[in-house]
Amino acid sequence: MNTKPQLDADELLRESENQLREILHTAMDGFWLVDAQGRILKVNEAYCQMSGYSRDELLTMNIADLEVAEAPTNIASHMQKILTQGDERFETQHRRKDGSLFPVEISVQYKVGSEGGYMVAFLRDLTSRVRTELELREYQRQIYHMERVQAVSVMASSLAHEINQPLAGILSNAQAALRFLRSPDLDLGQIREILDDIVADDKRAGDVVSRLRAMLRKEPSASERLDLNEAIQTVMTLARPDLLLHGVTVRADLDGELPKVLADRTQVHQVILNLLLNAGQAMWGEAEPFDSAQGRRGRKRGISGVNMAEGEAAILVSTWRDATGQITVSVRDSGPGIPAEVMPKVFDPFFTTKPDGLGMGLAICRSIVTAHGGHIWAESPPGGGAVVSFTLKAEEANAEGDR
Amino acid sequence: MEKVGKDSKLGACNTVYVVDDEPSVRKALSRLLRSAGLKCEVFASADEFLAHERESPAESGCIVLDVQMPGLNGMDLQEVLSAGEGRLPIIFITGHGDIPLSVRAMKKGAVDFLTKPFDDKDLLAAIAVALRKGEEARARVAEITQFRDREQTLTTRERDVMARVVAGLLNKQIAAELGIEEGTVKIHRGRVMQKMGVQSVAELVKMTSGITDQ
Repeated sequence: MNTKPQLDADELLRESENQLREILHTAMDGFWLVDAQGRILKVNEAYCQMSGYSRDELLTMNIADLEVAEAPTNIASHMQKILTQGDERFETQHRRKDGSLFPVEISVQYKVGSEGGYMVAFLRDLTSRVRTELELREYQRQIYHMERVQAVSVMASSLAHEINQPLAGILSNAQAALRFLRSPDLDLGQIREILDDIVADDKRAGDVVSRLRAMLRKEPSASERLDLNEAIQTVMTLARPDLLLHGVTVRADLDGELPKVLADRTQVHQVILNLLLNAGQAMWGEAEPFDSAQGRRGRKRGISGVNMAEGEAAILVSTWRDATGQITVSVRDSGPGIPAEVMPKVFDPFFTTKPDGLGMGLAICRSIVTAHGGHIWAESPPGGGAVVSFTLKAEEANAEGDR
Repeated sequence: MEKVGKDSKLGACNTVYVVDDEPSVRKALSRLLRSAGLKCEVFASADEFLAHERESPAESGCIVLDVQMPGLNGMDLQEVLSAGEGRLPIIFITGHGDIPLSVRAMKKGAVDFLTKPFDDKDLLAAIAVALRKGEEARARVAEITQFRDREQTLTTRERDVMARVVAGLLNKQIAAELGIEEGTVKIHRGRVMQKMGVQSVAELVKMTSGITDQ
């Protein structure tokens, strides 16, 4: 072992002081030594950079000259609190020499030395962190929109289908009426029936269009009283043609007594749609669209415990309310289920098992459900298939909570 | 354009079977077909139609079939019915036209593939084609059955002779091949023509060629 030459105590102290100064000088975080009156006694280069003041300027200043978020009286009481507590960590805003503001996180400790009490403070500039958060939020918002556009494009074909049904009814009815009108034994009652049906079909087509408009709305709509069962039915109607095309049947087992929830309609629609399409896509992989009936029946599939035929590619959407007033929506499929190693990641952004997937579907579901104060989780029950469920609070439960 | 309906032969004894899960489309189509003088029966699903087929199989007519339906979809039903060899020609109707899908359906023998909403003229024209195809198929089946029935009445020797006549051999060659007299061949040949109900060799050839093609 090497032995260093013995240094005397003074030299040791000086060296340690130098090291300390060096550390403080090169630190990324700002450093202050402040007396009990709030005067700045020492300051490092990092804080000079942050604030735009020179060291000499800062050494003539008081905390109150830099602090923006707190009024001078508040600073005094805050300092009093630090004196009694011994330390404190908080976020505030400081003003730069050029007048601009910047967010700062301060960690401060109160010490009592030979010349009285003083405070050691480390200051972290949060500008970049805040910017990152803002950027992230903006990015998320974009992804939301993108996912919604994607979902809408998936649905465009379904919507075409939805609109073409009533249009077909209208056209055939109208042309039948024209033919009847040409016949010698004209039955006006029949013509009236036909016109009634045309009116009904036309309104139906109009409803489809307004649903589409609601889905495309970009700005988040405010919370409204929402019938979850109705929302599920709406989305099921939209997704059904696409799912049927891929040989997937959708069924609902809805609790008829469900109370309303306070929620953003569009976002809830999006969650349900994402879950339905996810469940459907879990099974598309196995069944080619329009497989012959036999080919599909031959496959071993099914959901035990619910009334689904053995081997059927099916989705079951159920709702129920538990004793605590929580409403659970559960989307169950008869696909291959979720492998255990994948389970913890399914709600992560950009996690996907689909070659063309963005991996945002379930991540968005989670953030929407969480924003509504609910929970979302996935299971792969032993009987096969996958179940994704989420909860939302019933409207009354919310009201009671507010009281 | 072909005409269907009361006044045409085609519509007279034929029924159009409409299979569509959309109630309003079923209702409208049933009216439209009746207004054109056609008989029409509607079914809400492929299974419903198959159940009806098991009860009382349709003798003639055609199917107007929706593609997307819960349970067995239209393409599935086409598959199931394809064993029936065009007995009931199919016209597909669909909520959204999909080219690969229509190609597939047509390859499997569909008469037409119409995208909703479709014009009555297009539908009725397709139905006319379908009913005619069904008629032809039935006539063909009847012909085959008749041929088989008559063929049953031939002796082994007569069948040997018929096969060679149809193959274009001369009496002399047939006699040599079978090791019999040319005169005997002539007698067999006469009986074949009589039993098979044909006047000429050409007719016989036409009859058999159609059948071996099947």
